[in-house]
Amino acid sequence: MSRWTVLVGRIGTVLMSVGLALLLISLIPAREQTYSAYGSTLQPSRFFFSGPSFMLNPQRGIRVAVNSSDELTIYLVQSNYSYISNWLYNNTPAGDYSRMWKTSMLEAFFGNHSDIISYLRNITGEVEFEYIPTMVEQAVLVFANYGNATVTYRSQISMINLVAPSRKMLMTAEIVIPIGLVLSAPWFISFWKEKQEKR
Amino acid sequence: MEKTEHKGKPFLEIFASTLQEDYRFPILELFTFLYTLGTFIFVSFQTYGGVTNEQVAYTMVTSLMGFPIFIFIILIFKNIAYGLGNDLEKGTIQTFFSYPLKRRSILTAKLLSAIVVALLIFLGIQISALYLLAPDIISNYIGTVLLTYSANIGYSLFLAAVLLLMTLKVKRGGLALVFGIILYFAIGVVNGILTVIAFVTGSAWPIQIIAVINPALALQQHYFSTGLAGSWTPSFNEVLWYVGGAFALVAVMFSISYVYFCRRLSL
Repeated sequence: MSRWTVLVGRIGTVLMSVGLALLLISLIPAREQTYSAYGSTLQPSRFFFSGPSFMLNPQRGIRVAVNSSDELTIYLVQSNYSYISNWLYNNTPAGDYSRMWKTSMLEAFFGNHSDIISYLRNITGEVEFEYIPTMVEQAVLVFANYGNATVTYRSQISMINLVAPSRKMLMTAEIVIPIGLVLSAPWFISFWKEKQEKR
Repeated sequence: MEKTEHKGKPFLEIFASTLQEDYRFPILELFTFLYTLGTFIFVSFQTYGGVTNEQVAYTMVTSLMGFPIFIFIILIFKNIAYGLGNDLEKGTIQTFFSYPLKRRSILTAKLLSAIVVALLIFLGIQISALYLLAPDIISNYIGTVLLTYSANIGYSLFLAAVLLLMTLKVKRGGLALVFGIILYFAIGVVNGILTVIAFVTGSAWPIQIIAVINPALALQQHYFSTGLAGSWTPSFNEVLWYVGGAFALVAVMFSISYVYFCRRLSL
């Protein structure tokens, strides 16, 4: 058996063992912590916070299920409720606090804070999405109604606690295991043939 | 050029033969499986109030390598004590001495297989895991990540160097392995005693002494000053000095091993 066959074959078996470990990890189920559902109504050109801010990291993601009567924009913002509301309070023109919760103020806030939006999605009807960050970040959920009609919505937030991001693990395992199999096949065949000859 | 080729082939022969011996099927696969499993199972992004992203990067890397570095130490202990030790005990090393190579090249081939290959697999899996789990943390705090790895690997290499010296001295695989295990736990006990002294006296020197061989402690104090060593919070540059010192100590230990192997070792 040539040394190259052995070397490539062993690289293949190593890749397979890595893939199998990743596959095993991806099978560990995530633990979910679901908050009670919340329903509200949003007037045209108004926005609203989902309540508390969350601390997210690559092992702690968020799943949001929303059911809305009309089009609604959802933002996941890397900030917290008190910071945003203080900013809005201090920047509302001429003390006209009735404008504080207008979408124009939200746009002004985003204009002053670049790269603060982690996730943005326009939704209508029943939608569910999941967000797992790649670093540690604070997150607050914002619902904005840019349309002309009043929107009624109901949302449910769940925190997902993972050992590791299972989708990424599974995807990597699905790539690594076949590559490992292909690389190690000639070595396994030679190995088997040598054994047969010895017999 | 011809001379290099002439010497290169026997060196590769010894390296290949040692590799085959150290990583027999399925030892390599088993250790890789454990490295991968340990890396992902024990990783933690545990955050406390007011923690910076740099501290999170440090915590993450420390937790990520906690179990795999233990596996790495077991693997190099096996390779050095059991692999090289058995070669010395059974006299297999005499076969290598018949090659047209200097003794230092033979030891280099052995250590390349025993330590460098194990280190490459360890780092390969760790870096891939970091990019898979938290690419943003890694790209933003690459200095912290590299320093955390250096600090922890420095200590492992120190243990490997001490074990190598012991193996060359006792020339017996099993005995060297037992010494290695005792050494690992003895350092752990001494570490514990000095930590208690630091806690009781509120003085920094016991922790500073351990940090010379295990700079990971200086790094831990830098990011999370525990109050064990009074108010000792080393600066980033101080930590760099501790890491540099630990690697210098490792280099000295390996140099002594080389000198002993080349000039004093009789079989």
